[in-house]
Amino acid sequence: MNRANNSTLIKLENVSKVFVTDEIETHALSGVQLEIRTGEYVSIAGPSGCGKSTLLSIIGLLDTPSEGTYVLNDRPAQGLTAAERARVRNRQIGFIFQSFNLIGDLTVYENVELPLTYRGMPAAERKGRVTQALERVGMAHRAKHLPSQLSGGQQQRVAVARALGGSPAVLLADEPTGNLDSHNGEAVMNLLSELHRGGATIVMVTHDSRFSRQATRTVHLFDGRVIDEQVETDQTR
Amino acid sequence: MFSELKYAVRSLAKTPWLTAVVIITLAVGIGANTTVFSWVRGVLLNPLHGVADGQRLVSLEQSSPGGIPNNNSSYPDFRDFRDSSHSLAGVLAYQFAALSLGEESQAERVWGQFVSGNFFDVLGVRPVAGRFFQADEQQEAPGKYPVAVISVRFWRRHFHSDPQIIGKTIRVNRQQLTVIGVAPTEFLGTVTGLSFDLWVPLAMDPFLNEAPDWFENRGDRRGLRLLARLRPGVSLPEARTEIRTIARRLAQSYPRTNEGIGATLAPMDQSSQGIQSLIGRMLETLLGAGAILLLIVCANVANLMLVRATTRQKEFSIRLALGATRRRVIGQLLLESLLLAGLSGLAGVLLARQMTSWLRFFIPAEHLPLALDFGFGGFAIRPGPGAADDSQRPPQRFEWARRDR
Repeated sequence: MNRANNSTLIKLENVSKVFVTDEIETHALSGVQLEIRTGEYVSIAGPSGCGKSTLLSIIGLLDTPSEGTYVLNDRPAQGLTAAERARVRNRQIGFIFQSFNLIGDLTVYENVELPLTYRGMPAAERKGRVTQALERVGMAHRAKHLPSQLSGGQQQRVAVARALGGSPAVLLADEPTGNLDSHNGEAVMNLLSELHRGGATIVMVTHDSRFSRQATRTVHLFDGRVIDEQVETDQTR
Repeated sequence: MFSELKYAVRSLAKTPWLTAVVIITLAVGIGANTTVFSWVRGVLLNPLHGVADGQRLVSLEQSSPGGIPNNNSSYPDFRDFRDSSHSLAGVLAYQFAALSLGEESQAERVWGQFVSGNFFDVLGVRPVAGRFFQADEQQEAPGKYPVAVISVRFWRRHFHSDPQIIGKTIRVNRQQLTVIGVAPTEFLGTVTGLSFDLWVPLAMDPFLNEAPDWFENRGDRRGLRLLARLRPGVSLPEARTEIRTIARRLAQSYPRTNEGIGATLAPMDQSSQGIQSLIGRMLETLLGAGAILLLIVCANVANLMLVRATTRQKEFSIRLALGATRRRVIGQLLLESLLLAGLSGLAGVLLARQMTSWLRFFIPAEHLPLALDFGFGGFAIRPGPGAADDSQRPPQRFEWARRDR
């Protein structure tokens, strides 16, 4: 996990995203300018349909912008082939989804191990990384369980462990508390805060103002545009 | 790779009903097609087992005065075809019969063929022990050469494969015959679908069966069946033309016995000798039906797999998000499909191994020495249950159904 060193990790310039269906154009993002530095904890907030998840998909290389440029870790994302995008996603980005998105047929251990197998990492090294990641989220004792045997909060902790296992440059969390009760939601948010204190760069999408204030900076989106940025302080929290 | 294989197994096990339906469906398609192909190969593509260059062997068939195909010939006709033809490398004659083996009190019924002296030479069969008929034993001298060639099955069953059997005598139809050789395992005789254990010179037929000498009898004794080998470089139509010419010449020379009798050559898969005449058309139909069945099976399985893939779209999205390349996801799916195909193929083969012996249900003549187990893929042949000795029943002659060509 990278320590905060004030270098620019993510840079979006004039990014737009247009979805075309049946000759109807939907502008999900319009001229987004965003810069995220290593070690930052950025929350992207806004009402439903404002483009939060689209922005996160572009940052996570799951989607491409219709216009504008995106640079991740000093490397332009334009022109990357599908295989290269997959490789970057695997090595530099860790995903935490609202619905956990664990693979039901795999055990907790295998779910955390999965992105590491795509990396071609040797089995011994994978084992060390998986064990460490599970211990970090307090789920090592459930390694052999299947996701269906876990509560929602536990599943999300496993998802965090999966994202952490590959030591990515940035953690992308899309409504990580959306499917959790308040108790488990707070536990996951505390976990993210703890990871941030440990040096992790986190970009989180949320529409819950309580949780967005835990970030160091909140970017407000509305109708696909960045309308405000707010640096969170102890007073705003 | 191992973890992916493990996952593939687990993934298939997670939907046991779907997996079972796919495997059973494919197994039925594969099993049915393998079975039919085994039959087609054993009956039509490779009708004579254990012979050399079987594609050059043809059936020489004479027709009745009415033009009705009749594969029976007289010995003088056989001799004329054999000696007059330039397009044929050899013509052999045979007839088959049930024989009584052993002492009268313990006689056993065996099936054998009375064959012309050049029988094994024309077929290109080599003995596994001893020898076949020599030139002097090919003479048309009734009873002069009481010799016999036995099958490996007979050798094993009666003599425990004793190599000292050569030169010993066996009692057949109350006469002593000297065993001179053992035919190879894969050679069953010259009638597709039947298995014989003894081969005795034709000249011994009058002697063993107390029948009148018919070597010079052109008209009344038409009990022989003829096979021929095409000379290298000669096509079937060319040879057929010559055979027809010879038949016309015989009709002119011997109008009393041969007027109106023609002759032709037929490829072995279209021969009226053997079970191909009974079930050849049926096998061709089954082959077509099997292909259609396989297409339907493939379409059904493709649909099932498509439904399965659709329900796993979320899983594929997760894998792609976590850094799997499309190639890797497709590879995972291919691995699962290969696993399914492998299991289905295995089940299909097991099914086919059982089903290949079912050909006997299409053949009504149980008293004959049937050899219908063509083995998996038709690559091996073993005498079927009908080939078991059946000494309790009286010998019966069997006329193959005729097939118009």
